[in-house]
Amino acid sequence: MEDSAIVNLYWQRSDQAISETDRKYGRYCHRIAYNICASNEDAEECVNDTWLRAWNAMPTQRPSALSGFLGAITRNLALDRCRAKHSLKRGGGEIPLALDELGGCVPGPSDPEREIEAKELAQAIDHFVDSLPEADQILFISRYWFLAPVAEIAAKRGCTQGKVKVTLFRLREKLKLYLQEENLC
Amino acid sequence: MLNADMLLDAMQGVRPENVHKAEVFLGYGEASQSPPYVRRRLWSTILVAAILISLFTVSAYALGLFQISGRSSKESFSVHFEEQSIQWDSEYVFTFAGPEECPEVHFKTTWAPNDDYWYPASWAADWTQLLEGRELYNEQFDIYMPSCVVDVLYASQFVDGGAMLLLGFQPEDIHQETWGELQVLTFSAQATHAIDAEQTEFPTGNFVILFHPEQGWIIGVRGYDSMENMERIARGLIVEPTGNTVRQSDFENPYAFCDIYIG
Repeated sequence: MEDSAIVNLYWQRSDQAISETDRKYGRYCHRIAYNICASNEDAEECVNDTWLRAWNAMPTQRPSALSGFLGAITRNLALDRCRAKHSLKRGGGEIPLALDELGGCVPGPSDPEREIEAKELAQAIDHFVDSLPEADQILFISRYWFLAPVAEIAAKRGCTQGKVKVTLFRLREKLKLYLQEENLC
Repeated sequence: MLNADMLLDAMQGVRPENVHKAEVFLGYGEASQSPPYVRRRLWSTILVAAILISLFTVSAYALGLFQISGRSSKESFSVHFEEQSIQWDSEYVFTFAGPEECPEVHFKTTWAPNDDYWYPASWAADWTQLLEGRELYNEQFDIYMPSCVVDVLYASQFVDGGAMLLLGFQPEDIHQETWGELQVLTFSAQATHAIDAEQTEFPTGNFVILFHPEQGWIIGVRGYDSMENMERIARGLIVEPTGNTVRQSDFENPYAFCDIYIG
């Protein structure tokens, strides 16, 4: 079923909206949640909560691309669930590794007077990612948005894990430079 | 205060169309068929995925004059990145005899083949330590390739047996020159693997390596743009010290890579 038809079902408050969403995007959202939570049970709950959030959001929202809309909700829910259960650093899945990696982009103690607005940082990250060549964009988002394991990315690219790690390292170095130049750290 | 957790959350700001590209690449979404751009990009990724198999031997004598040495031999390197270890089997390496403490430098470019060559353009307008050119489309191979990458290494990283590892390329003829105080290596290199199942040969990459033996900095200019453009970009660089010093202890490991970044 087309996304627009599914969205119409939400707007009509039809129960079928949930089943159609689950049929089309259940596996996708489960994968996002599983990468973060490393637990099928938690991932399943995140997916169910995603459908509830979507139900509550439509109307009034009418997303043009459901995958992005639903994926973002799932990602937020999964991160929140990890935070609620334990520190992200001690969590399962790819979270501790990704946090360790991203920690390298924060060049030491920053100015405590400098309050970073989440929105400002999100815009900066978007601008940084958008400035990258497409292959690098895909790699960076695969790792730090989808939290996809390095081994999985390497398999998809048809290259070694080492190559993926080296490229991610370089991208993080670029991000670090970018954040410094934007006076965000 | 900025931390990794905030960065992870801030990834939510990435625009949906870019997230969608990764979704398709990973095959998570409903539409798992790769669009043409993924196919093209994959080739450019494969370009740098293999390790060099060099059949070429450099004159150690000639290179020794410039305090840069190249050696072609089967060696295995354990390279550490942020507490992770990567094993590389390289067959061609460069070593640099320079000071153990080097002045950190940054650079500016004064020449580019066109006004829109570098991205982000703001980096090219200011002092920087990394520059990348926009990708070039190769009609013959239907592939996008990195036009040019410029970055800095330091000889202090390579003391105690360290080396710069040439990855994914087999050098052809290595030329040595002196540009004022600089020792310069220029060479073209063929990627060591084919770009498709038909074993199509990949285009040749061009490398210009600038070494300041007294200060110890090394600037690599390389890409799939022409050698003429690589040389003009290299000659147009203005390099100045930042005021900081770079020591061996600043590096996680004594090895660095020289390749052409993924496009």
